[in-house]
Amino acid sequence: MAATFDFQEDNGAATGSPAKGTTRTTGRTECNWKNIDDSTTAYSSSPITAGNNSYTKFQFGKFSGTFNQISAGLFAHTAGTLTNMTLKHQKAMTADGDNMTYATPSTAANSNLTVDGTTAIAIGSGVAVWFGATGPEATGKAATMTTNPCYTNWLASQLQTASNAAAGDIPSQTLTLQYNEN
Amino acid sequence: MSNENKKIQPKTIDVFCAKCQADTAHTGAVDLNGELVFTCVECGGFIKAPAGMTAAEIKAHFEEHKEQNAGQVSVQGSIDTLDEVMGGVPEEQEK
Repeated sequence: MAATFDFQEDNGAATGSPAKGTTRTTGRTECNWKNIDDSTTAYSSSPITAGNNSYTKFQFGKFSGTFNQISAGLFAHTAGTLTNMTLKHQKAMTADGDNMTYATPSTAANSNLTVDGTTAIAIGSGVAVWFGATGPEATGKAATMTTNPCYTNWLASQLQTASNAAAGDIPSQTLTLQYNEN
Repeated sequence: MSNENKKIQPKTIDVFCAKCQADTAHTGAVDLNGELVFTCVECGGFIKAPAGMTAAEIKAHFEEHKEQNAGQVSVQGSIDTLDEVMGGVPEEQEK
């Protein structure tokens, strides 16, 4: 047997304590950065105008199924080229307090996203991801987790464009979450 | 006097560039959203700071930016290294 993995996404106004999104969508297979805060609108219907930023994407991973422990999490932009734009994402987890706090997504440059993921890197030099029960917003994240189900910390990201960014689709990008299960 | 030889050098600030993996000169500008954009003169990469940040907050942001981005190993860097290593090895001839 093996763990079951699912990328999920929060959207909408921050609600509760600790804060999370009003809407939680399961089964995400993409991370389309766009000019609207939802997981349903086609990116082609809400393009980012050059010089502006996408809404911050608050995605995360959920583990269920059968496992003893989830550990050694790493997250990185591992393939794809971005020109005249910057991809920012969540920093490495070294303490529980390193996890982001969910805030109602906006297009303002998110200064809490301190990792520049514009250049595709080897997953081995990605940022450390921690795990915890309840949800990405909950405190108590740790490098290893035996609770089932469990969740990653926020894997938030934002695409920030320059005024000379080309019109049209960007090339396909790959964001990788690597982990061990046993 | 002639002004032909006078060159105006834009002001720059040294900031860590994630792509260059070094402290490089960055120009500064305010975009249409009032956000501050610091652009690396070496590679064109940029760092944005939201409107409303103080100078002290931006400097602290730069420090955290360097701390979080130093040491990245780019995939392109590995490809370049492979090309360099394999450069002297002829391709296998088709039989």
